[in-house]
Amino acid sequence: MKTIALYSIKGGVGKTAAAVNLSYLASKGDARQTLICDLDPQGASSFYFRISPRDKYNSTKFLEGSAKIYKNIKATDFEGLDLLPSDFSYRNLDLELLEEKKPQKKLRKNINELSSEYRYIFFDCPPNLTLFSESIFAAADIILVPVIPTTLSIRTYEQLRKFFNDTGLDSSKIRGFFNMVEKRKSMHREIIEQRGSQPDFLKSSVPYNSEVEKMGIYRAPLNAVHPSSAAAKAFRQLWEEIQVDLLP
Amino acid sequence: MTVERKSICFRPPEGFETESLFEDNGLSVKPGKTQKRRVRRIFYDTFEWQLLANNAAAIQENRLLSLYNLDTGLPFASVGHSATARFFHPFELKDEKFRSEIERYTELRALIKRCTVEVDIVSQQLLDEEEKTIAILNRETYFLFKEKKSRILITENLAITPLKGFQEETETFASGTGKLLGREHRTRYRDLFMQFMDAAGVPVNDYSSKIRITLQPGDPVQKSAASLLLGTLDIMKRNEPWIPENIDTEFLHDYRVAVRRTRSVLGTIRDIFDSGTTARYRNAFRNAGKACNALRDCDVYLLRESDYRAMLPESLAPHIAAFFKELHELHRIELRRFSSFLRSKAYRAMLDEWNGLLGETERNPVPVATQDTEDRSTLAVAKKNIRKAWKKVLRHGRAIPAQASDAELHSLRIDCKKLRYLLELFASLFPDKTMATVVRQLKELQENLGMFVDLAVQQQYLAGHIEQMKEKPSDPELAAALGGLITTLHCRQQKNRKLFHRTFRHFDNDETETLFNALLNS
Repeated sequence: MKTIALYSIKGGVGKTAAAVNLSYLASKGDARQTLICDLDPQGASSFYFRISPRDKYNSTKFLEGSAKIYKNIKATDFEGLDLLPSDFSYRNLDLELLEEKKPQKKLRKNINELSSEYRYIFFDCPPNLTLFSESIFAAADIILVPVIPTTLSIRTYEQLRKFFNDTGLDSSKIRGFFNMVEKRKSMHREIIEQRGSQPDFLKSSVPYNSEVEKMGIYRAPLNAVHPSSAAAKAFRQLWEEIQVDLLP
Repeated sequence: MTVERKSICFRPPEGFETESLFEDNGLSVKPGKTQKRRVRRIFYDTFEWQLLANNAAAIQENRLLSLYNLDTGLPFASVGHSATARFFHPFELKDEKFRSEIERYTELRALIKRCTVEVDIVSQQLLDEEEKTIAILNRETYFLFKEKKSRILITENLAITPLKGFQEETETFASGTGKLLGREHRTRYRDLFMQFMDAAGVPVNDYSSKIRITLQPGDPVQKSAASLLLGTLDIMKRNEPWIPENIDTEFLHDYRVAVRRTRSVLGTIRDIFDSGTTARYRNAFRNAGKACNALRDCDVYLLRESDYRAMLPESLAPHIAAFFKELHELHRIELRRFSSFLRSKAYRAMLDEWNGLLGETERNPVPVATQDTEDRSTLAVAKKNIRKAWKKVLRHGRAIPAQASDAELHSLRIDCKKLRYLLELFASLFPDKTMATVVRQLKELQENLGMFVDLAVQQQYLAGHIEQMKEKPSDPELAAALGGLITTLHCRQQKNRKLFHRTFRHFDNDETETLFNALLNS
């Protein structure tokens, strides 16, 4: 089992679109059971898959793990891809984690119990840097950070790396990739040229594409509905690179 | 740790239109896309229906072999498997996870093709208000698939299968379906499975290697013994046709156990027949047993191939191949020899006569003239023989010194086997619970002795092979590999020898004595 977090401190960088599209691609092929955990109380990836949590599901159940998590996993409309939907109560996860003995290790422990069922587990993470984020860092084997090639986006990416280094976390888990790239903008081109060649960045990037925004209408991964769109192709290329470089 | 999903099935009434399920049902479920497909499913199970006994079925569909739960109607393990052979063995499956799933039901028995069914499926998505698929509604029409592509209609089925996490919503929809169709139309996949086998003319659960004959305590023992011997004869006959096909080792194994039980009844219950008749059939069945000894040896050693390889260091393991190659060849010869024994006129005539004699004795048990006046009712004879066999085990076991010899343990093993056969054959006369406990106690001792003797026999067999090698072109690596095996087996045997007295004390104690007394004084 490999766990892959789509994470950024900054909002609006395309974490959910990447989590939805990459998890869909991961579930293709031979018996590749994949789970996407919607950890963001906004529940955007749950929305994309048209899935709501059960009435009784909440952050407390999520932290109880094991059977409570299993009971709330739902199949998407795509074979091999399941989803653990988010609930609005996830906004309280930080407070609830404070009561745990080892809050940083909580998510890893709960997720390990799913290891026999899934080959890949994706986390669609909320945009902040909290105790829950630290629990995600401990649980993830790879932390994929979508970065828009802009000054602010690069800045938050560097803040994350610094946080890892300052707190003794393993920063080699972090991999950035450029998202919502508009080649016609000189700033985008320059930033990609300067930063993109560094080893902590993936070579593949995803262009800005209106089809990604329309996922809210399609409510399905792009590769399932518009595989020939530029963004769908880019996600395929990105997944290929992740598989080759990060998932031996 | 999976939350159980379950398909809900109905037998659609004649002329039923699937669309009617969505008319005025007061539910928010609506129909989604429809797809049609045709699949062919090959059903496999062992000769003993070990999968069905556990509510499971092995089904090959296209290039996928799956294990289905017949309660839920859903597969719980699958593996890519393109062969559609008449049978296959669990050990042939390369996928370790799938193999261990199937080995929960059977390790030694082959899975035999039971029937082939073709299914025309019309699948419809069931959508909720968000247009999310919550379940799949399959209208399935089953045909028995015969050779030359002919097919015969078996039945229709309406299966509603929830997607993971949507069981509750699906049950609400299915409950509406149940109201529309009527409760009597609810079915289960297990029922469908039985219908398929019935249509294919395959009798289900028609075999057990255990004797399940209910004896009457007051019946004359001749009558009961004849019934038991007819039971063992039936097991022999059921297995005979399969042995030459070389499908799995258990046909021969069950045949041999039935032969041994026959000999045991003839040897321990006296006066079933006159002494001449008894001696004649004891001899006939001893010969039948002897005729397949070599074949059984081949089976046993061939089954051990991977164990033997694992016992040897990497440098020697490949050299054992020559031993197994020779064993395969010997197996082929012995199988042919024993198959012709089974077909031989003399053997067939003996069995026919035996069958006739048993039938006559069962119908009309005539007590053999004896001088004593003891009670010859089934229960009295059973108790007497069990007591005698039990006491013999105790007497011989207690006489074995601290350094138990191979011969002493081998002899005690035979005593235990005789006691076990008597307990099993007469089990129907005694309370189930007490009998089960007694057998369990004895089984533990038998396992220890069985392992010990088995290890001794293996060493002798391998040593015999080395002996033969003296007359052949030398293969020092093979001799070294066989020597290595003998050493390992010897070590294991010594450990087992040390365990014997502890295991025997566990059998020879107050608790077991109380159990036997409860059984025999009831």
